[in-house]
Parts: sequence; structure tokens; C-alpha cells
Amino acid sequence: MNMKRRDFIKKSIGAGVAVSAALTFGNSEKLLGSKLPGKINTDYDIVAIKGGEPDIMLRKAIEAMGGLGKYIKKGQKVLIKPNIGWDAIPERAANTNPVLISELVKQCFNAGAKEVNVFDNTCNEWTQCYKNSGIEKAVKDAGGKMVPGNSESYYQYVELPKGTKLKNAKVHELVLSSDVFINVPVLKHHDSAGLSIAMKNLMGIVWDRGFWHRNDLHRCIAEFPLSYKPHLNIVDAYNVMMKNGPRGISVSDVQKMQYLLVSTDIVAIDAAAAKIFGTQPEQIKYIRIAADELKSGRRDLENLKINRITL
Amino acid sequence: MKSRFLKRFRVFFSVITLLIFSLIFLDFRKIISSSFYSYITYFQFIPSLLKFIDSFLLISSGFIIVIILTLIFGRIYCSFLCPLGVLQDVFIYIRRLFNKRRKNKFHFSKPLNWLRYSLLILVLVLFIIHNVFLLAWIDPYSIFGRTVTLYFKPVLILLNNSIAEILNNANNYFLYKVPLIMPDITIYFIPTITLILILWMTFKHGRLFCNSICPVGAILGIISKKSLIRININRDACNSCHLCERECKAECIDIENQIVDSSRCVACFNCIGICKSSGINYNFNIGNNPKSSEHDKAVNVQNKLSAETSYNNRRFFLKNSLTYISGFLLINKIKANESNSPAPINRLNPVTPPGSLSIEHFTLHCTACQLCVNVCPTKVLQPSYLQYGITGIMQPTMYFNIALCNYDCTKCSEVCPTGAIKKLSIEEKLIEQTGIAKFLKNNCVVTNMHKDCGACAEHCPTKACHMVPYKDDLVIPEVTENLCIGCGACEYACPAKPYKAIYVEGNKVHQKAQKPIEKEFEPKQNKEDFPF
Repeated sequence: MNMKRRDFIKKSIGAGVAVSAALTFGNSEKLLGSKLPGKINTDYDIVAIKGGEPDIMLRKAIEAMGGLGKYIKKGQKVLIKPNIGWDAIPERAANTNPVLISELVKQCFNAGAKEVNVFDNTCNEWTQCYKNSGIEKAVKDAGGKMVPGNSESYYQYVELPKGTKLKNAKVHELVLSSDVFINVPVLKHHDSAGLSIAMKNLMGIVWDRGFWHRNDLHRCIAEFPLSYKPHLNIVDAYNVMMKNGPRGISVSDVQKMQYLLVSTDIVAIDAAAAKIFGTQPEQIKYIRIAADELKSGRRDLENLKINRITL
Repeated sequence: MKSRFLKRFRVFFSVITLLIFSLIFLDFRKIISSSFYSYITYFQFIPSLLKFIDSFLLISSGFIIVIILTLIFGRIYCSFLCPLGVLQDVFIYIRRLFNKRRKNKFHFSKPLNWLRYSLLILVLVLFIIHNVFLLAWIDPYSIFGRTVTLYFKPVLILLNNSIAEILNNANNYFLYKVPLIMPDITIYFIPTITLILILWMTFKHGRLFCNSICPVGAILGIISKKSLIRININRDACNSCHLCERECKAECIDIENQIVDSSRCVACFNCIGICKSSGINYNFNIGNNPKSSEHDKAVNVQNKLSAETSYNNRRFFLKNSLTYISGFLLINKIKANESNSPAPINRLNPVTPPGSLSIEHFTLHCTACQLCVNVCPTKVLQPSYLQYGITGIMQPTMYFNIALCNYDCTKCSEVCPTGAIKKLSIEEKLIEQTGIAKFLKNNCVVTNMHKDCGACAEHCPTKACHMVPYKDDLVIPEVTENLCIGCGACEYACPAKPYKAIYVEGNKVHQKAQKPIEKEFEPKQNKEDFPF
């Protein structure tokens, strides 16, 4: 335990950034999302794009958000968290689109990132997920690094003081040591949670998912972003798994919808993605809890500033 | 010069054999494609024989080639191709390093014929009455596999993990940590006894194991008595210096009587290498050996035959008693709970790997070499302890508390050298039903906590396990049995405590599941570009 903490402090000092400093002094709430107040003010709450290829839509969306430079400073360490949960080919849309991830890694480097790391705590055997999802190759070709998330020793215990059900978790060390955290889920049907989008994707940065399942899944999903909120969420809704989610059976579960959403508000982006899927946001329990009860984001899309772009 | 060459060639060849076999049992990073494994294990005598008896396929004809090679060259199998033989040579070499003079001090000993032939007959009889367990315990290839898997591999993984720790801290992920899965301690019982026995035998008497216990050694020993080329003492050149006898790890050179017992000679060529007077050679049989060996052989065969018949008469009795013992020792026989409170899983049949046809076929052909355990990408396959009864100890079974069986993976069926797991195509695997998931409502999170969970349905690859409406807007799992393939994804994912709420009941005989339903659906059409 001592050893780990020492390592951790060393790493934090090495990174030399505000977020790490805040952590070292014991206030985990200051992490990530709340770290750069004011700087993440975009003109739009959500940028929604339809009709292009994943990489082109991403480029346009980031442009519309005002460039990645708003979120990434030169020399920073960036973490991208796609959904790589399943040993499935890209066409099955069980994982985030590798073309999108490749473009995002490149954009991060263009914005001045020193290193770009990608990982997921997968459901299927992790090396096969990394490989068959096409994400490993996409990331490596773009100059990023795939990081394993298969061993408990990569995860560190953190308190989640704002949680009522979820009071602590073991979170991947990269989430703690990175300067910028970008959440890149794929929109898909989900048997038990209703839909898997941005908030649900964060289950892949913790070690013990079983605890969430045992202790009110929806509330845990809603509570976790109170403490660990990504700087940016990008929802891949290019190919969408419409049924048999989250794993899916075959490509027959998939519909090509060609959407992409970008937002800093993890609740709003989930609400918008739900609408694309054809579900009302209030039908998804964790969106309701997060928006109405915890107020960690908004689901009243009609009152938000949304930039709608059709290519 | 030529004589030295033979030994050097043997050492070179055997080192390669050892390296390749160690690699396939240690390769936790899957560097070698598993499609090569069947070529590597092709010559392994017992696996090849078992596979041949089962399928009569050319692919499993390795043992025939070994027999032919033995007829020509003697037991070169034992020094060139048998990984356990080479491993014993390594033990002997290590022992020699601790010797002050760095020399071997073997001496001729009488053959333990009663032991090697009675074991061979016992193995044969047990096989006839449908049991493979003794064979599995003494088959040299399987002993090698287990020794490497149970002792060497954990050490390698621990080493990997400590180096990975350092590299990972330096932000280098060339090596990554691999979870160390240690099987139940009871599994170590037999391999440990075997290893100690082999160590003792090699330290004291060289290749005694090969010449007293090993069934392959016994069979090839009989054949090598007839071999064309063999080690012969040239009585004219031999000056009885005993160098070769001391060097002979098979302890089969009797210089006093100028005899080489070719049934025990493992063709290591050490004797030729050390002889200073060309008194011992590897050449065509010139009938130097006394005829008594022929006589010995005839007697042995007779003994064997008579013993076999008497055993055969008793086979039903033996079979029944063995079944009784194994049934008595079966675990997981806890009575089902009738009340509504959570109850432990009561698995009646273990789940065998896909392609193994039935529990009976699997347990009759598996020699527990652990190759499938090593190749399994998810690590769901692990050696059993008493799931198949005491006679099936170490034969692998599925451990769904560790992992799930990967939906479109056929690795174990590709590599199995004995035919216990038959090769499956991906299409066959996708509907190969090894067991059926059973839902225990009383243990479920949804019932007990009154909250949504659905981890089981999330992981199900065929949607045999899916969620259906329950009280108050909640959903609860349901299993469509004919879609279930018994992969255990649901059981693995189930977070319920203290007992899992869904488990796979093994199929005694594997069945074909229905193909997953691929329903066309009405594509969603948003009226406007953006529905918000």
C-alpha cells in the first residue's frame, strides 16, 4: 500500500499538472472535469453531426466545438476510453468504431498531446477484444499506445464521497495520472441498462463491475460521473446495435445511422443519443437519476444549445 | 570422429525437442500459432495411439512411424522425441554438475521386467475396461506437460509479472501482467509424487523411469529387441575399461558379460562418445547378444497374454467397483434447496470442452497433458480435481468462476493430441452445446435486491439468456434452453453473492443447439435529421 502511494505521488509530481497536485493533496473531487473551469465553455452544449464517415464527422464536430486545443494543452497526457468490451469485429458495432478512434488519436497529437493512451476493462478476453475490435491497430498506427486493463494491480482504490450507493471503487491508474480524459462510447442497445452510451461506458474504467450490478446498477452508473467526469464525450452512433445488446449476436443487429455527438455534458449527450436510438431519455433510469436527482447534467434538450450539422 | 558426431547430433536434436515442447506449454503470450501444435505433438506415442484407435486417421499415425523407426534404429524416440526423456537427461546433467569429478557413475543393473510389463498390461486392461487414468498418470508426454504447466509456468508468469511491473511503471507495456491462476492444491498430489519419483530415479539410476514405469518405454523396448541397427560391443576391440557402463544412463551395458540389453537402450550414444578403443559401436545387429533375450521376450509375451485373459474375465467387476469409487468421491453433491432462500449451485455434471462429444468420450481419451489448458485464451479450462471422480483427476474441465468459453474459439479442439477433444470448425462450435444454463431465481440480484442487474444476459453470446419483464418496471433473466451452448458467460458474469444465480449444468452427451435467431427489424427512420 505504501509502495503504491509513493509510486503514485512520484507519478503525479512527474506529470506536474494541476490535476495531479489536487489529487496528491487528497481532494479527489477536483479531478478532471472540474479542473479547468471556464476553459471548457464552448458556444454549444452539444455538437451533433449526421451523414458522414466517422473520421470526417469527428473532424467537423471538433471544429464546431472550437478545436481540441480547448481541452488539450501542449505536452499533456491524454486518455481515450472507447468501448472495447467485446471480442467482436467492427461491423458488429459492439465496440467503438476504430476509424473514429484512429482519427481522434491523430487529432490529440495535432493538438499537442505528449502521449495518447487507450484502454478498456473488457468483458471478453482482453487481447482478443483489443485485436478483433480493430482498435489496437488503429491506435498503434496513429502513434498512440494500447494499455492493458486486465489485472487488478493496474487499478487504484479511490473514495467517491458524493456517492450514496457507490462510495468507492478501484479506478485504472491511467484515469488518475492523465491530464485529459476523453470518453468515446458507442451507442447501443443494452439488455439491462436500456442503452449503453457515455455514462455506462465509464464502467470500463473500474475493476469490480459486479459490485455495480449487485448494488442498484442504474444508481451506480449515475453516481460515478459525480466524481470522475470526462473532459469530453464523443458518442459514436455511426453503426448502431439496435437489439441483442450490449454484445450482439451478428451484423443483423446493426443499423447504419451515421451520427456523431460531442459534448462536455455526459448526461446531455446520453439524452441526445437516446433520442437518436428512438428512446425517450426519461425512460432510461440512470439518465433520470443523473439529471433529475443528482443534477450532474441536463436532459432538457430543448433548452440546450445544440449545433446540428448535416453533411 | 563419427562416433562423437552421433552423440552431438542427439544432444542437438533433443535440446530442440525440449525447447519446442517447453515453449508450447509455457507460451502464455500465444507467440506460436496453435495450428502448429498438432505437428509438434504428432510423434508423441501414447496420444497418437489413442487418437488412432479413436479415429483411424492418417493425421494420428505418428506412433506407427515411431514403431518403424524403432525397428530400424532402436529406441531413438526416447532420446530424440520424448520431451520427458530429454527432461530426465537435463536432470542427469544437473546431477553431474554437482559431482566432484563431473562424471557419471552408473553401473549395469538387471531389468525390472516384472514392473514394466505388469504396468503395461495393467494399463492395457484398464483401457479395455474403459479407463485411461493409470495411462494418463504414467504417459511420459503427459507427465512432461503437467510438470511444465504446474511447476515451471507459474514461475515464468511470476517472473514476467515482476518485470512487467517495472516496465509498466516506466510507461512501457511491452510486457503486461498475467493473472496467475493456480489450480486446487489437491491437483498437485500426483504430479508431485511423479516428479519426486522421477528425480530420485534419474539421480540414482538414470533412465530407470523409462525402463520400469513408462509404458512407451516398455512397448518400444519389446520392439527394439528386433531393431536392425543397435549398440553392439566389439569383443575384439573392447578392453573392458567400464567407461561406457559408467556412462550408460539406461544401465543396460553389462561389460562383464559383454552384453548390451537393447530393450533398455535409449540410443543416447553416450557410450560411443566416451569409448576410447572403438569397443562399442552403433551398427547393424551382428547377433552378438545371447539368445536368452529372445527367450525372455517369448516368455514375456506369453505372460502378458495369459495375464490379459485373466484380467479380462474380471473386467466387469473392476469396472463396476471403479465406477462406484469415483461416484462416491464426486463433489458438488449438495442437495437442492427447496425453500426461497439463496442456495449454493448443485452442478451434477462437469462441463467438458466443446468437441469432447461426451463426458465418457472425454474421460476415456484425455491423458491430462494440459495442452488445452495452456492454449485456452480465456483460461476457463483448468485441471479438474474430483469433478470426474478420482480416476479423472487433472483431466480439464470448465471453471466458469474464472472465465467463460469464448464463443468463436476452437483452440482446445485444434491442439488436443489424443482426440479427447475432436476438431471443430467455427460453425460447429457455435452450436456445440456442452451444457445448459440453469437460472436460480432465489439467488438473483433482481429478486433479492429488487434492482436491475442483467449481467448474465449482457454476456450471453446467443441471447439464450435474455431479460424479460418482472415486477415494477424491472427485468429478470430467462433462459431459452435450445439456444444455450453452455459457454458459461452468464455464470461467469453473475455478480450475485453468496451464490451465483445462474450456472451451467453439463451435458453428459453434447448436443446441437439451435442457431441464434437473427430477426430482421424495422430500421429506425427519424423524420428529421435530428430527433432533438
